[in-house]
Amino acid sequence: MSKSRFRRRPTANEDMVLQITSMADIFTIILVFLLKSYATGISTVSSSPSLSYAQLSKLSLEVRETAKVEINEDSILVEDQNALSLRKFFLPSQMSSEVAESSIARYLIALRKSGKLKHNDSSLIVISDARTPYNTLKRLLNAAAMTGFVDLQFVMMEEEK
Amino acid sequence: MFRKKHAKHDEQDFELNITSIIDCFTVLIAYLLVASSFISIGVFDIGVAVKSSVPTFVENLSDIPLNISIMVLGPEDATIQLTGKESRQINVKSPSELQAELDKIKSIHTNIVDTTIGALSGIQFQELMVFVEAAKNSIPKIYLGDDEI
Repeated sequence: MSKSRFRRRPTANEDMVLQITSMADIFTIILVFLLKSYATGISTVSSSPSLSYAQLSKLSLEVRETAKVEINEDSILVEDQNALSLRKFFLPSQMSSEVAESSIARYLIALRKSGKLKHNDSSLIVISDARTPYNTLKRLLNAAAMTGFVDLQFVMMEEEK
Repeated sequence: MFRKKHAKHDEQDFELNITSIIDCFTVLIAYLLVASSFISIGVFDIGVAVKSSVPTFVENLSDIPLNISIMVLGPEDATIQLTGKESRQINVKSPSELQAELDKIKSIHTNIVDTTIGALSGIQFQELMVFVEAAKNSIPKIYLGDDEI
């Protein structure tokens, strides 16, 4: 009998090599894309964990890069510096409105002088808790108007439709 | 003479195990996909009202501008105050009613481009912004900072 007729099937190589290099490439590209789109503009704005955002239905995603002011339960922060202490969103009972506005304005003026802002920049990013009373917000508005910040971008959460 | 045998260059075959990197990427991508769909944060542009003590000068009585100011009195309560060319007060009971009234005013006075909004001291930011949004649907430029009561 001829040996050539009955050739043994070559045994399959048991060590299978899984080629995942192209999958890694795809994942890297998707990751870079998601990081880029997620990190553009608004998502770079951070706030205190306890802050609850106000909600509206129509918001813009275009954020002008500028200084940030945050109003939370305990304080008004100008670029993470405590410009004014609050008691459950309200001014301390012995503090007058003028003193509060001067305190905030001092930090805003220092911010202008620090050179971190563009020349004649008139905009501010305001992150206000939804429970902030208008009385407290008005102090910030007056201080901002005094120091030339007249265009405010209020950061809020978009309502789920 | 012994010929030194050159030491064989050991070919170091090392395999880069990127399986764990793929795992990290997968988790990171899944997290970003989920997080970006839940968290939708945006901005709302508003101007700050800056008051002047200088009175407005007009040459003709027909040139008297119409000023609109809105005062939020409660979560479902606001007042539209018209001054200047026309003087009256309109009470509204909801943001949608506010928008409807502003649309009516704007249909008569087509040159209205801005309005100021204020609120009572205790009105919360969320309650205020709902009215501000309704007003902005009708009048594009909103200034915040009318006198609080």
